[in-house]
This record gives sequence, C-alpha cells and structure tokens, in this order.
Amino acid sequence: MPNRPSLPDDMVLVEQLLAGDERAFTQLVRAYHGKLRYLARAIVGEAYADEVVQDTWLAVLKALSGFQARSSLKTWLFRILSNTAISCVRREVRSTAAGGLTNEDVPALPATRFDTSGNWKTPPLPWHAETPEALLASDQLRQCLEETLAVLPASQRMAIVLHDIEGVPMVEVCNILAVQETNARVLLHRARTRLRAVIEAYERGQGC
Amino acid sequence: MLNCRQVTDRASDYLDEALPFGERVQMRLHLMLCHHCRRYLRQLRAIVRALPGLPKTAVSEDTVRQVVHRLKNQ
Ligand SMILES: [Zn+2]
Repeated sequence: MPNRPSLPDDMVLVEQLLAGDERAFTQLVRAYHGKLRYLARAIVGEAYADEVVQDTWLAVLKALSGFQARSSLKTWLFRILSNTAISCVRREVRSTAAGGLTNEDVPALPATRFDTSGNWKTPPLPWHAETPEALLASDQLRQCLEETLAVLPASQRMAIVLHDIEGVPMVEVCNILAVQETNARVLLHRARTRLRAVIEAYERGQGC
Repeated sequence: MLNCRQVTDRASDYLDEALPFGERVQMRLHLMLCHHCRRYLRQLRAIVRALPGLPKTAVSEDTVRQVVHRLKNQ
C-alpha cells in the first residue's frame, strides 16, 4: 500500500491544478476516480461507466477555472459527472417523483403488515445483524445490499448513493437531481425501505 | 398520536432530522411506547449507517497512472 497523504484544502488543490501541477492531478484522480466510477455505474451501468468517468475528467479540467468554493470539490465533481451522464435519469426522476408526493403517499411497507388502526400486525423481528458493523461484516448481506442497489430505479439509486454513501448534503443532492427536497426525500425513503425489506427477508431465511 | 404505519412512513425523514418539530415530538412519544417501531428504526438506521462502508472504491496505482496519462494526451 503506497503512502497516501491526505488531500490539501480544496482551493489550494484547485490552484495547483490550474498551475498544471501533475502531482496534484494524480492526487485528485487517486482520491476520486473510484468514487466517480461507483456513481457513474449507478447512473449508466457497468458498460458505460468508464467512458462517463473519462468524459467527466475532461470536463473537470475544462471547468476547473470556474470552480468556486460554494460547494466542496467533491460535490462539484459529482455534479459534473451527473451532468455528463444524467439527462435520461432526470427525466425519470421527474416522472416518478413529481406531483408533490410525500412519504405518506408512498407507503413504506405493504398495508397487510398493519391492522385497521395502523398498528403492527406483523411486527419487525430482531435481526442477527442489527448494527452497521454487523451488516458489513457479512459478505452475504453486503452482496444483498449491493444487488438491491443495482436494481433500484436510477433516480432512487442516485439519491441514496449521493446522500447516504457519499454524504453529499441534501441541498446538493437536489441540485444534482434537479428536484425539490420533498421529492428527493421520497426517493431516499423508498430506496432505504427497499433495502430494509431485503435484509428482513434475508433474516427470515427467504434469501435476497 | 401517530400509529405504527405513520411512524414507518416518517422513519427516513426522522433519521435525517427533517421532520417538523411537532411531528418529531410525536415520533419520540410513539417510540417511547412502542418497541416494534423502535426496532424498525434501529434496523433502518443500521442500514443507512452501513451504506458508506459498502463500496470498495479504492483504485490501483496502475489505474491512476493510466487515467492521468490518457488525459495528458488529450
Ligand atoms: Zn409503533
């Protein structure tokens, strides 16, 4: 494992990049190429991921002089990647998340789990793995989660990859997806609920 | 008072502290009284917190060199 010094402050790094500092660029690629590729795969699938990331790096170099530290460099990179890949996804986001839906219009669980007064009829059972560490320690559970992420609608997948995996602030997620916060929260809610349901099924011995 | 179904509908926003004050208080009240919903929240929170650990995004030094090289020649 080579020694990996942490990245300098965003503005410092951008100045080095603008000055044509190849070491700075290598640092940037080392820090973000994998993350960009993961997100690209989430948007366009494995087959086109490398192409999209390559186009993104080109776009980054072109746009670099326009970077202002209004968002973090990381968020800025994600936004450029999304713009490179996203027009079809945005159409889907608008059609599935439009119309002022709220989370109450999108039930988290099938109605049959509750009685007529809305209380649990089939309550959640305890899991063997109920902590983040325990979930990640199991290769099978990791695989269940990855496979479920892969089959989510692209808009939900982008919302959850950006917000929950990459920690991009909600306001930036909304910018990237070009949706209102209510809609972005509906997307997150659906994605997370689906993941929980998959783990629940797995814990009940129903596979994933 | 919220019922369990309404709690599950709000679970994601509750974890993100995105609920209005009144609903947040009602959630807390319900969660104090209902261990099923506490478990539901605990499971959902565990998944959300596990997610950042999911992707293996480290790239090899070879890949880094290739990407930098290709961009230099563009
Ligand atoms: Zn309850």
